[in-house]
Amino acid sequence: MIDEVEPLDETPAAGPRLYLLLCLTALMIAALPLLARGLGLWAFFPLGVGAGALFLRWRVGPFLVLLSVLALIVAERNQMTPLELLTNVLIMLSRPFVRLRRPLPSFTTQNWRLQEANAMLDLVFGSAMLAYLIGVFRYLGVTLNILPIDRRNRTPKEPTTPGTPPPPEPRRSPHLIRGSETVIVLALACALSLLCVLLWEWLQERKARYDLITLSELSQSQLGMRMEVSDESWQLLLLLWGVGLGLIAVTGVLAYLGQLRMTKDEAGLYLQDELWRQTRREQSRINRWLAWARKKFGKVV
Amino acid sequence: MLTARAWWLLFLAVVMLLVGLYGGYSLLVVLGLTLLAWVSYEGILFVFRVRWVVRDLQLERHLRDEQGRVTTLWSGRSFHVETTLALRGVFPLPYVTWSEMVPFGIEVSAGSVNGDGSLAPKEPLKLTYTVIPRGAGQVRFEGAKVVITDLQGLFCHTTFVRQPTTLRVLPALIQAEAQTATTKRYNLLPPPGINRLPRPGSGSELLDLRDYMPGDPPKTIAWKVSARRDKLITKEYESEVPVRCTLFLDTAQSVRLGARGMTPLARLVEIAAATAQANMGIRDLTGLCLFDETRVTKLLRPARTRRQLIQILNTLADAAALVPSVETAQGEPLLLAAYAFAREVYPDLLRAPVNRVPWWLPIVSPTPGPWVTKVGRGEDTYRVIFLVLGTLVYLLGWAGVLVLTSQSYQEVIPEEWFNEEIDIPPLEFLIGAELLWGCIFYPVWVSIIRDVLPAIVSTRRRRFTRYRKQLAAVLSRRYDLGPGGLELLFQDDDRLGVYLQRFLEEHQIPFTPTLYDAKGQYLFRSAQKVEVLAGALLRAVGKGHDNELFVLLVDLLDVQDDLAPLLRAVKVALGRHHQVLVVCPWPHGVEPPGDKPPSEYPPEAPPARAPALNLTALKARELRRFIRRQLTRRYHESFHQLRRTFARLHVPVVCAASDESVHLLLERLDRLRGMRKRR
Repeated sequence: MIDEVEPLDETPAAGPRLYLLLCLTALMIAALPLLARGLGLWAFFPLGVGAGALFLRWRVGPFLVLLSVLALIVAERNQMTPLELLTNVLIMLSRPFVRLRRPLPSFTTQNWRLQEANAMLDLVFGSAMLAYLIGVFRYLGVTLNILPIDRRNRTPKEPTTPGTPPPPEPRRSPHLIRGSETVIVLALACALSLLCVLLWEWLQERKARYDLITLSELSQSQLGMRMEVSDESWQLLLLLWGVGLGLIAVTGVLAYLGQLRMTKDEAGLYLQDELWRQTRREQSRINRWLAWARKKFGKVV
Repeated sequence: MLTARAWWLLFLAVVMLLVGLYGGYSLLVVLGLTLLAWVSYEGILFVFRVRWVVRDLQLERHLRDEQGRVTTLWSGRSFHVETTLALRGVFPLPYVTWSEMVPFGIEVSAGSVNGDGSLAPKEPLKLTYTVIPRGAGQVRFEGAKVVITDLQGLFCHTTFVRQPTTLRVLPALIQAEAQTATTKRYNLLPPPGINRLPRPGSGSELLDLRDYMPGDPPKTIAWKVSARRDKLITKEYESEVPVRCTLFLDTAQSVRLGARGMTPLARLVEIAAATAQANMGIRDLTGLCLFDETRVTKLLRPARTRRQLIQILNTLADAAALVPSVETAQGEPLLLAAYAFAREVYPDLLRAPVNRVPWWLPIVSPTPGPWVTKVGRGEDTYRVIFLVLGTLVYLLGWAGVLVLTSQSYQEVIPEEWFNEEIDIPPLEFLIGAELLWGCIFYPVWVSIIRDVLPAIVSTRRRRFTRYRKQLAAVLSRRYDLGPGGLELLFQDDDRLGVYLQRFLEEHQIPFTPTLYDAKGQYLFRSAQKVEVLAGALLRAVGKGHDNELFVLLVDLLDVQDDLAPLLRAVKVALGRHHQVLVVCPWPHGVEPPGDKPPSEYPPEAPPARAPALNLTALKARELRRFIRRQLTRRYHESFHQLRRTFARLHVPVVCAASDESVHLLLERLDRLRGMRKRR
């Protein structure tokens, strides 16, 4: 007899708990910069949303946390708390159907200082949020799915027929998680945040009125019109240019690397495709007539 | 490559960046930038892995049974498969999920064909599972599907690591009860492999007494009998000869039809394997002759060695793997099957950088060519309508010209047309316009309306054009058709069909063959095989010795009218004192024939709703049942007619329908062997 295939180890692995811990810690750290900016209890709003979604294993959890941060900003801009903001939005949406009394505007966000520029706080917040996002996505990859779910395999109506493999489980095995992963996550989050803070500091120094002074003078002298570019747009433009050029360079390098590693079949197909594109019309005409002759006279021409 | 998760993340990051930038929130700007930087970093890493690291993936597979590694499988036995996915280079892959593609005709009985893990250069991933092959033939392990992703699930790439291995699956070993005893229990019986032939020979059993003839050896003189009769009498002994059994196996297209493992050919192979093993068990010489409608494809002379048995089983396994193929295959069903398979196994050859489909291709070059391919009824009607419309406009134009050129056009055209407001163009202009319409606008009209418009509107047509172009490129490269191969297959339906069949056949992918040609003629009748079989039988008779046994494993149900050459050959074989047995395969799922001919069956009750055989009034289920009954009746009639035809020559015909037919056949063979069990 053939030996039986050894069953997998069914003991629960510690990996998911590690990521759970990382996510909660990151959310708590992310609350600190908000506290420092005077948000009070509302600083824990993203933490609450994130923790709830984490325990409920919602796939939309990370996006809800990001939206909660956005909600804080929008609320501060409108001088109201996120709860009031939500109430107002609901009232606005239900106005065509139900007439409700609009709540009085509140001034509870007067002490909020979200617009205050503080590179250190931004660095901590960015690092913590990124660590949370990496952690939560990895946690979801272990507990729910790491690969996109193929909807065709979601509800198998029939048992798997012999000869066809069952659909692969899109979930990462918990025993594959190593302790060193969290350290790498934290290092990556800190490094990327630091890089972005430095980039932002550099971008903040870019002012359109200084950088585009030559262009502005030129347009005024040649066209007789004054060129008005806001600093924000100029910074965005610089960012887009930087990102675009970087992407083009990286894509070129990667494409070149890909061509270097082409297999013989792929290279043959590539050349064949090029030849076909160059001579397609002639070949098409000839082969159509040949096919027609074969069909008509029933013999190979 | 980007998953929905990544797209949402990018969207939110951009929103945050814009809100932060224009709202003056550095918090949001930094967060948005951080998210963008992270996604970019992961993306670049991932693309590098896809472009560079994936090329280093290697697959290794070993099959073994309880005695060690094997290169040949046996039907019905379990085998252990060990597959290893390794990485050659220096860069690791953080997470892969992979699954081995199990070939058709194999059942996974234990273990799993799926696995996952991180892949590092010296840390391969392994899969172990147990398989049981079902039915003789060949199985082809293609390789493993590997899905690469980052640990966050932001990117995803599917590839296929090919490691094709084709293995023979030998027919199952016969059951113990089907084997005849090989030990000699009584001295009366000849040793195994020796059969008595009631003809004078050099055996040990007395056959007859006859008068002495000069030259007879003195030791054969029966002295007592000679003394009694007062003249010399000689004893004649029986011959003791081995039985030579030659199996003629039909591998024509007609017996290859059906689902895998359920074809008449599979049944014939099963019977041939059992017969060969039983014959070898009693040390009879066994030979094998494979033939199809064109020629004898394989011939193994009768022998009794172990090597011969293995050769026979290998040949039978190859024969069982044959699939139907025709020269005029319909490309469309094959195209779908082949593309689905190619997308799984050859995703790297269907990528846009190496196998691009220009967006304008379905519009500019609608394929297959409108005058080359037979189109469906709906499309045909559409084309006819527009052709008629175009032709009508053309003819009306000419009619107008004719009227205007005639002298009496004023009588034809109403008078009110001749008021001052209507200005009739000059005749030359009308003729020129008509010629222009006929020569230029009409073909353009026809080609645009008839061919281009459906190509623009119909997504199915665009899809098929894409499939066709990509597969034409792959096949042209695979079969080395030269620089014009791509366009040749792109334009020619028949050629594409032939190569698609070949492609699917090589990969052991079952497909539905084209049964009828454009004229409605059945393509799988294979009447020529009767002549090939007759020729092979005559050659075997010519080279045969005494006491040969010819087993014809052949489907003759459809070729009743063409049996004359075979009957002549059988008569020759019988005239040389050989034995012939016909084994006729029976279609799967059809009730086997009884002893009574169909003419003696009880009268069939007509369908309840259709007393006058009004097929349109029948429900689908009743119609299916009716067709099935008619088909069964037709098969029964054919079989009984075949049996009657061969009964005139005293040749038995066995139906290879049920599992008992192997036992029945072995019994018949044993009976035909002659005197072995007569005492």
